[in-house]
Amino acid sequence: MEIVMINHKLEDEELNLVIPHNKIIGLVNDKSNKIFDLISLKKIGKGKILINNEKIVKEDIIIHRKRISRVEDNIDIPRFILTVEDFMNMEFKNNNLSIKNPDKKIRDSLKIVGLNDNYVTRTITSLSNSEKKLILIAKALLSNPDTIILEEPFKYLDLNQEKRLFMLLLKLKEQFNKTIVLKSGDTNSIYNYTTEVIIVKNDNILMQGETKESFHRVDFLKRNGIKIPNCVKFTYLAKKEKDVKIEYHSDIRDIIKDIYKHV
Amino acid sequence: MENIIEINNLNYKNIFSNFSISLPKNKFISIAGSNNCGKTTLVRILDKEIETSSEILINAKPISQYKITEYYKTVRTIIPKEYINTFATIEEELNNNLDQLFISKEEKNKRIKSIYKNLSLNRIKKDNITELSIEDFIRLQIAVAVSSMPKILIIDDISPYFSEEEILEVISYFKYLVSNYDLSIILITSRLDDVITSDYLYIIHDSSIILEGNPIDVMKKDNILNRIGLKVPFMIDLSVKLQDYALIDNIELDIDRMVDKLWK
Repeated sequence: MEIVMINHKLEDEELNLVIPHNKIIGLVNDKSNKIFDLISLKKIGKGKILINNEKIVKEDIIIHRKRISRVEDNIDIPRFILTVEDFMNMEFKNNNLSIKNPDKKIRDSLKIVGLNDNYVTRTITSLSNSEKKLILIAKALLSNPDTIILEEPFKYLDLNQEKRLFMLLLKLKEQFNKTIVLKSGDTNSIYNYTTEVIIVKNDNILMQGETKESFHRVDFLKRNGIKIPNCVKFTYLAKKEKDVKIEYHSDIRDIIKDIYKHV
Repeated sequence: MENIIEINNLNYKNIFSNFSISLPKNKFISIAGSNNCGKTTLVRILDKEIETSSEILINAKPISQYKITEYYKTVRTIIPKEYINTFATIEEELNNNLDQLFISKEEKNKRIKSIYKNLSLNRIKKDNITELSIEDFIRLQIAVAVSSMPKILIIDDISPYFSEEEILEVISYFKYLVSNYDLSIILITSRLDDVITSDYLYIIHDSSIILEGNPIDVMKKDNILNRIGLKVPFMIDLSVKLQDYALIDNIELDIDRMVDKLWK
């Protein structure tokens, strides 16, 4: 699902936005969630919207919104929901999803995120923060969306869970053709896990493009108060202060090999 | 070294089996572990929310011998987002809590001033608690706990709720409290970046302490930490690997200094 917004006016500013199909895209520094809401078609303004090259009218937005699943940062699940199964069944009801075998669908969704069948009957109050996060992602998969947008996806996850989640997102992209958007304040994760990035400043798009290329524009990003990933910061300093000819790398082992060649 | 908390052979469900730990007094201690290793359960046990028959000594006295009010004067825990049942403002909540301690007005004002300043609460002291952001709510939880001057403050994994800069400010405040008051602080975390400056670090996994010691020395064991799901802070990770290649002698935490060291 490719989303293109041209001269789109939301409040005072006009912006141009492209969410390319079947990529893992990062969204950085979107403090007020303006772009996050726009990408998920939750809040739109005036201007052209193309989805898969077709112009969309406002009346059809609801239909296209259903093709996008949004996983928010807030992991609080209402207290009146007792079990994971209840929570997942609510999703079927809220979205009018008619599923042949909802029980199997729930178990399959949980399995995709690495949670076994035991979780179906677990009470919500017994879940840890990281388990709640994974349940929210499993819930987002129930409607079989084209695009999945996750806010702070790696928050609450430890390193092994983070790696597993990334492998899952990669699988969703490559095997199931999904488009994935990761909104995060952690530029290290965005640098490592995404191929495209949208960087926001004061509710406007500061830059969008290929992730590595974008983050290597260190001076520009620093001037605009954008946090630089640690591995980029180190390499940038070595290049700028010491004129060392090392390359930018996301893997620390590659940085070490490069340092070794140039020390 | 005197211990403020001693846990001997803790057994609880399938989470803890013969788990023992001794935490030194008047230090800023961190306990780290991957998710679902029992960190929050440990906090709830020390909060007396979960009862066990295992031997737990708090300030050299068995936990079972404490009366409720005496215990909560000694031990305060902070579990993020635990409900405070009030529609008060921050100012009202803090004042109410301090009024119940029967301290002098001078002492009360002194504590309030220090708390507002160190937890950045001045800007929102008139705000209603129900309208606070999660990070400000946690600041309030810390404020309420600290204001009562307990002997032990146990904080459960607040890192996910703060930015990198904010959590460093909060950690700095904890270190200030430990240095200036008769207080032991235990910070439970899964983010090692935040505990580099703590006095002592324990790593728990599979119901046992697998590493302990000076935080930087513990974090040098990057293979073990990565395997159990803990991310080593970037500069320590880089330093350890550069030491393996004999390119530097010591751990360096500052990026600029590291670049200077490598390319003099």
